[in-house]
Amino acid sequence: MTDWATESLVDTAEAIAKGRTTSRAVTEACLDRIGRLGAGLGCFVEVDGEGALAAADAADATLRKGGPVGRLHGVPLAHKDMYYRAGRISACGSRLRQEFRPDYTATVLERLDAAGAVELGRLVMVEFAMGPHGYNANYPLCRNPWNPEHIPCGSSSGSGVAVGARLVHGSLGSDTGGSIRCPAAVSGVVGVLPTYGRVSRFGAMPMSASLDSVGPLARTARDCARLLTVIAGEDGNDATSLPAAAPDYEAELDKDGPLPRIGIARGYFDEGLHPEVRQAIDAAVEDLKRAGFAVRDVPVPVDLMKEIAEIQPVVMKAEGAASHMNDMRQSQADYTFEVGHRLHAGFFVPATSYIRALKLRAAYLRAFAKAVFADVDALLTPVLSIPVPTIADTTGKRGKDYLDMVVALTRNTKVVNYLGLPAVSVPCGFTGNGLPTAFQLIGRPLAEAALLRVADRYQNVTAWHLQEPSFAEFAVSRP
Amino acid sequence: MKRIDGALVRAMNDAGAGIALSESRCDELTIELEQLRAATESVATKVVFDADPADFRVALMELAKEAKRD
Repeated sequence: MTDWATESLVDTAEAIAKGRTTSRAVTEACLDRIGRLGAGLGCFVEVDGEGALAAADAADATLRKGGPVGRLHGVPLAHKDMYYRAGRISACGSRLRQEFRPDYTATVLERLDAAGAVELGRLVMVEFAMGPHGYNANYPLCRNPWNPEHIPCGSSSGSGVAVGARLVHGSLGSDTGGSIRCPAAVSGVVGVLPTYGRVSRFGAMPMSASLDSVGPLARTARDCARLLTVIAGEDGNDATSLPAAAPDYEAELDKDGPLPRIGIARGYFDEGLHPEVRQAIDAAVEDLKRAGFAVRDVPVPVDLMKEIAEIQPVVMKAEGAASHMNDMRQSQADYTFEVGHRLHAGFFVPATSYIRALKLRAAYLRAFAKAVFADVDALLTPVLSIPVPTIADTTGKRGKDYLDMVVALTRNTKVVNYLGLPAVSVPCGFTGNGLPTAFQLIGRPLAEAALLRVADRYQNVTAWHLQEPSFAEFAVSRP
Repeated sequence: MKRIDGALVRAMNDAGAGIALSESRCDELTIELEQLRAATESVATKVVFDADPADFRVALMELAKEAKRD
């Protein structure tokens, strides 16, 4: 008997649409799995089983009547707890917003609703999306499904864990410095950072308006392509939305035509690379050649990347502090120490420094594109340079070494947010500690289709995305 | 330029942010603010007078069009 919770999103959607299963059966399978594993994994803030089953029944009824079927008809999803739905709590990982009920709905949720998706509940995230390790002192620990002693990465930690543990078929995360790609990488799933402005941010909690992007996490590149097709496109409610029609990313996967050319990043991204991560990346490159891709080394402008890595936090911290100033003044005790600290630095960034960092952005983007994309269509880099750290390594520490370690987690991802480029995180093996590792494909603006095509073909010749966590250790360590 | 120290952070906090500031946080902020300042200073000479932050959106769309032509 098929366990629909463990099937891919696309296969499940097709099975529902063609009557091989029902949305209720799939939703019950996911709820059963959430019941057995969700609490210990700590990835759900709230499970709305009753609401999800009602939505599933409605989806099945529509099908029986021959009604319109969307691309996600009856498929269970759950999202980072920062996408507003009118009348429903969006706590944003915080104590301050435990009772916050917005009076409007995020564009991305409206688009998923229109495609027929069923929403199972709200997922854990780092408080106000400000932090890369993935846990949140306001909730029980959110744990990596591959080993509960290791971090889930953040800030879309619940999204990575829920998808990696096969509790849901897909999830929306948000990415300001790596918060989709890093959780996807450490949970062994695919994560997509769309081009800045490709997906509407209307109704998504802002962390840093100049850097935030909304994107999907799912088990396969094809799953992500379907989700991105549903959510991408212009939105008059988001002033940063790009005026460009979004393609059908899933259909683009199967189009004929020359394959994207791949460049292997040499310089910056491979500095300090752990040998086990390097080994996995090297093997992935060989697999990509086997899949028919032309691959070549591409020297990366190291000085430029280092400058970007240093000024990205200037933008992020200044914008974050601006949003939180009133609440920090009035209710600092309601912020966790770590996030309060991160925000505090932003209050002292001079306006001139912030604006200079923004004024440089176009020139740096052009310089990067000229240096990197002259002869290739996608740049391949590691996502994390190191094996996934433990929770103990990243908890309760202070000082420069700790700050450096936190900074290292997003070293290869945050530069992409500053440049506004699209990127896809793709699982490509395991390091010696048994945790997943992944590569990142960075593309030119609006080139998501090319990146997903590479990732899909890679997954056609490899099986990393089919590996599932065993949860054996998890059961022992369950709090 | 004077190095950022605890006294300066506390003075800036009192004059501007007005947020409770513990000693330990003050110490860590000196490290972080020094890093942020060094970052912006290191690129200061690269900022073009006529550049506009909104040029970034233009660059994104131009590069997207170039990618389609390739």
